[in-house]
Amino acid sequence: MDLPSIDLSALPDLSTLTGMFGSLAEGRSPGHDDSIVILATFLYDVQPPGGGGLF
Amino acid sequence: MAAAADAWRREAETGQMLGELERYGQGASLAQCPAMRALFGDGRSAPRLVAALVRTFAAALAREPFAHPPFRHGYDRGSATLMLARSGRAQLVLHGCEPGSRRFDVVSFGDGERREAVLAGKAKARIVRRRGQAGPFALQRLTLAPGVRLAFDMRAKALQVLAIERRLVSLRLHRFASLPAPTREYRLADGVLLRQSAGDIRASRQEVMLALLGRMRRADAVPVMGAIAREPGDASLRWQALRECLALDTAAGFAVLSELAAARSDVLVAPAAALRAQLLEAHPELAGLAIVPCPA
Repeated sequence: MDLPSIDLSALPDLSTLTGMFGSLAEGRSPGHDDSIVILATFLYDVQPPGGGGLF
Repeated sequence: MAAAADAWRREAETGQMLGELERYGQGASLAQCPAMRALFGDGRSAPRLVAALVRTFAAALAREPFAHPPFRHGYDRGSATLMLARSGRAQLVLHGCEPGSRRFDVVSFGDGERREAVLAGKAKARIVRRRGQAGPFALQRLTLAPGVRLAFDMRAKALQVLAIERRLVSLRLHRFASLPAPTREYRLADGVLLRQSAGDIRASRQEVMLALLGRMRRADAVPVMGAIAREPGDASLRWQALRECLALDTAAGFAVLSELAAARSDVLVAPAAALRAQLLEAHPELAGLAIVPCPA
């Protein structure tokens, strides 16, 4: 039988979505912040590229 | 610092507590763990345990001022945590919070139990208590000061620290449920559910794995996806497994979907039945597939 292939994006989610574990950190408002930039800057400062380090 | 932490762990009182934390993390009641019970029951045990730690750390820091504690630690906007021990589902965390005020428009409830021993500082706080599944919450004000001991079921109660006068230091014991339900965040004013996130880190990890296997078009993962969708567990994870299964293998996925839609009691019955009807309408040829067994 020739079956249709179903596109994932056409399949609905549940009516109540569940975020990843830890995504409801208390006191954080939904949206974006610069935590990852701060972390990347810190890593760059302590171990800059070419220093035989992380990158 | 590592030697200082080892010295602290070797102290008789700490050793007993760590042994009991292991039992508690496996599900034993606090009544079966006398040293742990004392930590969160009497007024002396918790300060003594932490004082012993600080004594050894302070001596090590005096020698090596830039040393890091060999515990998982974090600092975020005035709030510092130091995870002293973790075993199974239990965690013992030293928590410090700088003076200041906070306003809360929301309240979160997790799935676990929490005990707290306030060691130092002073703060105004409140316990927010759920009354049934929805609706406004009951608020109970309290003052946090050395000697205060709290114990609550995180599904029904949440502690909110409103104003800290002097740096607040507490020892916290958390134990998560063995199959934790999602953590839910509600609007304080009217109790409306705003957001929820997985209460079980394993469920989130598996969900990411499923998404990755789906994007890689790994057909060999279809039986596992079908099994996850069918088995009891986190509803969100099961639904994602079903979606990925359908997208990878229409016949196998539709068989799982039909099974779920026909289940007697399953939280996914209604959404599965709705999706099945929607797919049958869009692809009538799927009707002949209902009896195809799933390879899982």
